[in-house]
Amino acid sequence: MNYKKRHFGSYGGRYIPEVLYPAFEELEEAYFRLKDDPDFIAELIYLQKHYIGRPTPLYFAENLTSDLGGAKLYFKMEGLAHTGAHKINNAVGQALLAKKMGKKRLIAETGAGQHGLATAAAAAKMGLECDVFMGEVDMARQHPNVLGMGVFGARVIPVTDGSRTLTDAVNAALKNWTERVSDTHYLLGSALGPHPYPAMVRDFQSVIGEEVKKDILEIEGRLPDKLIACVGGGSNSIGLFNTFLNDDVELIGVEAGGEGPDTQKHAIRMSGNGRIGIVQAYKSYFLQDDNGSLKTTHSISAGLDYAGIGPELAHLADEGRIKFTHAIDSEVLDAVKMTARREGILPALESAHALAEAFKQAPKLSGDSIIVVNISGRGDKDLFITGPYFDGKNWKAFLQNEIKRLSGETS
Amino acid sequence: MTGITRLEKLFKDTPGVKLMTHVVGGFPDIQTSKKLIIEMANSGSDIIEVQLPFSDPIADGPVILAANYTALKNDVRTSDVLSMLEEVRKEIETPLLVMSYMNPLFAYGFEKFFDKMVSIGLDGVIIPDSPPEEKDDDPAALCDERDLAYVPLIAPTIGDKRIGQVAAVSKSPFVYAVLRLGVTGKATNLEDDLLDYIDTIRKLSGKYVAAGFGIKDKSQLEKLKGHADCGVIGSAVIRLINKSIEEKHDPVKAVGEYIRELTS
Ligand SMILES: Cc1ncc(COP(=O)(O)O)c(C=O)c1O
Repeated sequence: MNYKKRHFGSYGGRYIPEVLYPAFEELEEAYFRLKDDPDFIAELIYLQKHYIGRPTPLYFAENLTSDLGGAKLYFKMEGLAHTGAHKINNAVGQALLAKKMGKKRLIAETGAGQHGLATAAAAAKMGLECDVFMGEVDMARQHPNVLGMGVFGARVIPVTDGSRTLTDAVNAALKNWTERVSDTHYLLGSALGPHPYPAMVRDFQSVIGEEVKKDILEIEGRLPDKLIACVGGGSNSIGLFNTFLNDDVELIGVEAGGEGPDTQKHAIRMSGNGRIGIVQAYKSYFLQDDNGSLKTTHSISAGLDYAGIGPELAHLADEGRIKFTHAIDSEVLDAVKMTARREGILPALESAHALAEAFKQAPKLSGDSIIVVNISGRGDKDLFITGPYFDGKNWKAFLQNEIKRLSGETS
Repeated sequence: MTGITRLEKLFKDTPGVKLMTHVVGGFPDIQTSKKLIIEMANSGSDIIEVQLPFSDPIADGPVILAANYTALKNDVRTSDVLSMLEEVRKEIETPLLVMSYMNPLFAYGFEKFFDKMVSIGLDGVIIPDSPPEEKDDDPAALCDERDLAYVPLIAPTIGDKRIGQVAAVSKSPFVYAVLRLGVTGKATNLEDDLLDYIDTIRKLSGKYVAAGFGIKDKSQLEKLKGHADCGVIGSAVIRLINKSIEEKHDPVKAVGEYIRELTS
């Protein structure tokens, strides 16, 4: 197999334990065979349209545009996709692939629970068994998604190792796969991990950018000046950017600034904090200590709370093609509030990182420039985090009443 | 005499199934891990592999993973493990391998790390996430240049053709065969097909074979006779250390007794 295909510059690759070799060979062979297969494509397009609800709208945020008094702001509404985020694009694509490969069971890792939820839904739809690995800490803070996965018939398996967050869930899923490769597909949720995942996830997410390109040409007759997306592992950003890589369009990735770049509580990997490493079977930038162990990260949004980043993004950053910046937790909450008040749209905390950056940039640009922001998900899932911030007193009272009500019912 | 030469001599000169035991550097603490290594050597271990603690050991099961985390919580660094091994080397002649994932070595610098190993008198490395296709850092070649044994890992899932390829990446006199699917630490029945598999590896690699993952008692080691050249014990030792600590016994003494029993 040729070296170039497995790597993006010097990043990526496939640093897997030998036991997984046949599983990866099988997956790679199947993916590169099926991705251009007309029947596979037709089935995927059908599912995208009728199950996911694609295309998602490209929405002109008229009120915010006039408030900010600069560039025109467009939102790509991935939050309107089925299960509430872009994650479903990849989940449906890989679930279809798994089915074609004759697999009976899907496993997945999840942080925020959005990818787990999408995978659980896709598994239910395709009639596949589903186990989702989730760190105990994430389970505690994202309970609504834990509940949702269960309703879709998936088993959520708590991961109690290490920091008990997304990174440990990835390790647990990989290990589980080594124990049961023959009937199981590992449905990895972002554009990272060992080859072919970064390329495959990018391909399944590229529909985001393709739709944006078509719509903006129709509406504005030209390409946008800037595209802005939040970056966890990198799937919604590369999905938006991929089709524009060779166009004269500025690409901006926004990482989780957490409590600030000068604290230890953030997930900023690309602005000088992360170092190159080989972790979880791929080479990229990681937040790590001097001994090569991953650092614990922090973000108000569980979906961006991860120490690694997709290898293609690392490469495109080195090349200067993508610029990286960050938004801190307080800016993110303000961006959620502003978007909700002014546009009647409740973005996910992850996506609000991209919005925060857009709100900083828009006023500095002239009225004929265009910014497209990827609203990768909707914010309903975050109500237990944003609730106390938006309306602390009543939210607490509501929860207390709920507990009373439930205790009354069960006692 | 160190490195490939020392290991070659061990396999050539010592009859029967040899024993390789595993320690996580800095578990349960750095001083105890030093004593454990020395005690293992004195009780009959033929080779000792010392793991560098790491946050993301993707090929290890829960027992070894938890030991990694204990060491990291104790703030054990790669340099601490190397200093400890430097002291150990002054006391024992037993072959010592470093087991590490790619990133701790990458962070330290592969060449710098291997040079340090040579200067201390360590003998080889086992890297579970370093497949032969990834040539960027090529630890196998760097080890060959230094007469360090880069010990390839071979899994039962891979085909015959690949066994030969993987075994041929370095000049190591032996390969490490993974006896069961999955990760370290769950029981292995040494069924006939696994023994056949070891024979196949021996034939196709043309090298000595250490067989590991899941072995814990003497009867399992005995079944390897005539098939493998070495049995590897990992999680079982760490379980014993955990149990000893829990019961307020000396883990070093317990491990010594256990190994003496295995090698008697
Ligand atoms: C809504 C939303 N946006 C963004 C992300 C970040 O992931 P990625 O960078 O792969 O798009 C997540 C991850 O869970 C998410 O749920």
